[in-house]
Amino acid sequence: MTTARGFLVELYRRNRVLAVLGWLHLAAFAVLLFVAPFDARTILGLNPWVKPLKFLVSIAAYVWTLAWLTRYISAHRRSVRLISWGTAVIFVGEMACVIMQSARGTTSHFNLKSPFDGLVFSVMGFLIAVNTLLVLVTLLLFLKPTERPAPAYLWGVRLGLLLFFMGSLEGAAMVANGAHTVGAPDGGAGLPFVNWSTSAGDLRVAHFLAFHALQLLPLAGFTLSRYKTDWPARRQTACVFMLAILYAACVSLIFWQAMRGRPLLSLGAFVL
Amino acid sequence: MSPEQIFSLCGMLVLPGWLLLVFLPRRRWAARLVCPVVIPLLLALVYLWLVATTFGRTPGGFGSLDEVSQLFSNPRALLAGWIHYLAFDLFVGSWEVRDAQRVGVHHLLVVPCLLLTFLFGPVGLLLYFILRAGLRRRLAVGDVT
Repeated sequence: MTTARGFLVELYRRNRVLAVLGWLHLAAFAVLLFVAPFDARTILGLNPWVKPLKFLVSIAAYVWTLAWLTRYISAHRRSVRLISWGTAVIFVGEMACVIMQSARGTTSHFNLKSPFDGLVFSVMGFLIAVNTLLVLVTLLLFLKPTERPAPAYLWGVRLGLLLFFMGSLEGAAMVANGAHTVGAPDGGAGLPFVNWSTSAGDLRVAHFLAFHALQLLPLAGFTLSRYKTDWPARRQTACVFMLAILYAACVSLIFWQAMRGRPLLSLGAFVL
Repeated sequence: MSPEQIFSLCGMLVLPGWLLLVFLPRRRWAARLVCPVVIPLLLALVYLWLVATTFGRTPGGFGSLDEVSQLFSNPRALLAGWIHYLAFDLFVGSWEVRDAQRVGVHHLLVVPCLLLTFLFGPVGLLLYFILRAGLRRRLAVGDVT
């Protein structure tokens, strides 16, 4: 328990704005988790609060990761402040839109049913486009970190940010597609909780995997540099690169598979 | 033996080779004898026999993609082509293992390259060269310094 506490204290010390932002997301998560069972409505066949819950956890992981990592670029004081406050404004806005549309009983993304829904969707698109730019700025700052972590860790961060950026572009492909499903309307049968389609292509899978490379790759680099101390630094870094290349290749395959309308996996194959 | 049986037999021949490369890279008889020499030479004999008994008796050629496609519409020619893949992929895989040992690339990093060489031939070789260039700042192979 003390390590968890130590982590949270250190997180707050490293970046107050983003640490608090993460807490806000987790608080909203707890509230909605309580609200969800009492809501009998459905959106695309699902409880309206499933999507906000997924977004809240995922974004909390993102902003806390970012909070943790900004330490290594903290001497770029003004840039870090811009990134932190920018991220805070963007995600408070984004989540407000997602939660509002769920409360109204309608979809948030790809919704052009009324002028108001279309406006909400375009505001979300704008916010996320700005966030993509902030990610790019963060990546550039990490080319000149002011406090240098072990090489494998540093490269894990850079490659993780790069994959996160690619995941954002993948989101743009999803917007261009006008739906997250390819080959069927949104809202069919899907895997538990994530609801990734089991009958058609689903662009959200690659989106999710690319984003969370930002946790995987820095963690891999950190773990290697910390526990594989008998390895030369170069070998640790090569290992992170190898992992990043293979991970990116898998995500790309999953993306193309979805673009061709093929599901990630079909539950029927296991159940029947 | 039908081409189908030869196909399965050759598949069973290379699979142990790949397992040896992944799990016993340091045994001299594995990465230096069985995988690059014994298995490819056995495959070479099968290939030679297939080509000798098919050559000139089937339409098609090598001059255009259409001719090649015609050539490979014959199952025996197609099987020969497949065995060509099997033999050369395994040879390249063993080269990767030996080269990695020579220039000091850790075997764990070579394993993904082997997997890709097994599945997608040149892509695995590409990954190995990226790895090697990144670690050793050198692209030339052999004893060039």
